[in-house]
Amino acid sequence: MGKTTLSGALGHLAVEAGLSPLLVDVQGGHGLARAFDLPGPLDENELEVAPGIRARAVNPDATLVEYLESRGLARISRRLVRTGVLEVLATTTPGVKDLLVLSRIRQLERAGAADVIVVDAPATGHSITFMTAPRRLGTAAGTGPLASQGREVQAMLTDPRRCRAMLVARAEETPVNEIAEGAFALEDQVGVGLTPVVVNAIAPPVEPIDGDPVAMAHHAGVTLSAAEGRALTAAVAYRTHQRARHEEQLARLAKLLPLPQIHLPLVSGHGPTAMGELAQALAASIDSLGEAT
Amino acid sequence: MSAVMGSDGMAAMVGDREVIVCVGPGGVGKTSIAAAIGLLGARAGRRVVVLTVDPARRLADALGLAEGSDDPVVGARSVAGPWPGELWATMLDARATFDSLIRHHAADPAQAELILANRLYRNLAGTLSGTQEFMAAERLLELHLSRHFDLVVVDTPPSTNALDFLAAPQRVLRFLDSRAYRLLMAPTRSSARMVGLATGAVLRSISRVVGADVVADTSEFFAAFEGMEAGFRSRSEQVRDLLSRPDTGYLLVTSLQTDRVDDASSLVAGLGAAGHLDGRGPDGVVANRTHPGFGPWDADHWENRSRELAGTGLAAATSMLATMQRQAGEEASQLESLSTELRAGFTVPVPELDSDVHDVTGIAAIADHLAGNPIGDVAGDVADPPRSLDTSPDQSG
Repeated sequence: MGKTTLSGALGHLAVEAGLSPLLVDVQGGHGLARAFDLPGPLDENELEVAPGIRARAVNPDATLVEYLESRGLARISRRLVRTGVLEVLATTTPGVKDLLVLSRIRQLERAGAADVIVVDAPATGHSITFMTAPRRLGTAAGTGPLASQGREVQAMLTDPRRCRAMLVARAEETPVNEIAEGAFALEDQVGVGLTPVVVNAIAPPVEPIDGDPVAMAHHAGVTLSAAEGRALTAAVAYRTHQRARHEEQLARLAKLLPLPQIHLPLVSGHGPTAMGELAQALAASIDSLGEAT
Repeated sequence: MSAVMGSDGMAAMVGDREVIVCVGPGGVGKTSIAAAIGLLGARAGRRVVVLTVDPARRLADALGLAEGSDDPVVGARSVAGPWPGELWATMLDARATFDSLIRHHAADPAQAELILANRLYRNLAGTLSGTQEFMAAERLLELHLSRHFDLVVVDTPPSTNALDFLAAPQRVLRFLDSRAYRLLMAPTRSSARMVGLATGAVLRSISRVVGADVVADTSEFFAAFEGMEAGFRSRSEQVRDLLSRPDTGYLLVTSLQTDRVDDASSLVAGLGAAGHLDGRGPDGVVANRTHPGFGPWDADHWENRSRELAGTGLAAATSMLATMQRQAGEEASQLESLSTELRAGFTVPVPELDSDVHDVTGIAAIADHLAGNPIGDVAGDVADPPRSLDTSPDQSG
């Protein structure tokens, strides 16, 4: 929830910290493109999407073709694609595309393509499948080229100095359940280190109205209609209730998952403006955590 | 088509359609909306079944899906409640549906067992995108043909790109297409030349890269599948016919958060491109978890009030309400432009409710909003119906 915008916000934070970030979209290049108001999807070429922020896509199908070409099947790779044989073989080897995408990201990391690489990963359920592909394919017993790539990627994922996973969700019941389950799955099945958990779109705290709004306004020389008074009361009641629900979910998340939490407010609007607001809120929240992320 | 009040449009769909398909991105409460539409059908006296795909635990509990099993005759479980019709619910089991398709179309049990044990087959459901959609559509056809129900409401797998409910099954069919398997099952010199590839040398190269066992399992799968693809294809055509009928209804369910709106928009663009909606848009758009409005005054009005009341105990509340009205207003115009862009017949906003659906009462609360007569609206007696109800595009021709 809001994962893509958050990825963009992390990019801004990196620039503020004097770093050069690279944002990576692994699901077609549309998500990050929209977040930065680009006219079309990202592709394999790096693009500067905001001052100091580069972004690109890594295409799963393309990485598979490149892999075959690198293994001496260049002459027939296009035919393998056209006849559907490649898709068939990929299906018999589940996780191969995910592994190759992660492998490409590892190459970028090794090549020093950026100070920090932010990957806008698939949603929680799919991200587990995505990130367990290296371990599944890179078993110690395996000897083929895929197996050794699997091991190399797995080494990157499980080294907290090189790689961390950031979980983000809204403060609602189902997302909190999914985040908690996802965190344990990532630790058990992938072995990746986690950053603080980000909880998004939290309603602000609300001051109750201390009396009858119409009377209070009258006292200040302002004529408020009864209907306006009711609107104010109802709005405050709604927000209070919403805030209480969110706080309940934050507490529940803390019980389910012993990780520090980063709280981000509801941000209105969309695109680069909203991303800027989110980046500021993120910076403030991280400061208050008092630890390096 | 003239502009239609959202709730009227919804009532009409629920009253006369045989199939309603709910499409939309993940994480927007689509399954809850599908369940609520089912409940509306039951209230209208019809026999309704809701096909869910991956319901959240609490919602599954509410529908009785968490334990026990489907009634063997009807293929779903009954949801009890105070309505004249019937409400049933079932959860998609893509693997079981695929297995039963294999058994049904196999020439004999031996052929079926060979496929069911094959590694490629076992990976298909998890790996090949479109398989879940294919199986949901197959299950829809089964339920529709069963004669136990007047209306099937279909929840669909979450789709965040243009690969949609209608086009995805085609990927599965192309996968099962004879071209790939003809090459792999028994490549003779002539068939290999047909697809422009050399023979044994190529297979050996591929084997070195992906593993000989992968190639062997793949060949075995297509060899075992031989003869079945015709049955699969003709069944798929029946499914496509059902999905393409003008009276099969489509609802786009989305939230109005930007991430989701963009997903929704490209989703429906994908539906149109697949040609299955004949260029028409979804029948309606349900915007879930909207910000409620509080009365007819806009954000500027409350900002003025906030200035007038600066320094009083009302300063914070008026400023807060200004922000909330701005958010509600932005959502209303987002809903309007989405609906115009998609040429939807009607829109229905459903405000963010108190909590996730836990029981049938929660589903009923959503149904009340879809029907346009919410009880105990959180915004209280002061709220007008959110403006977006009246902003469905005026369509001519």
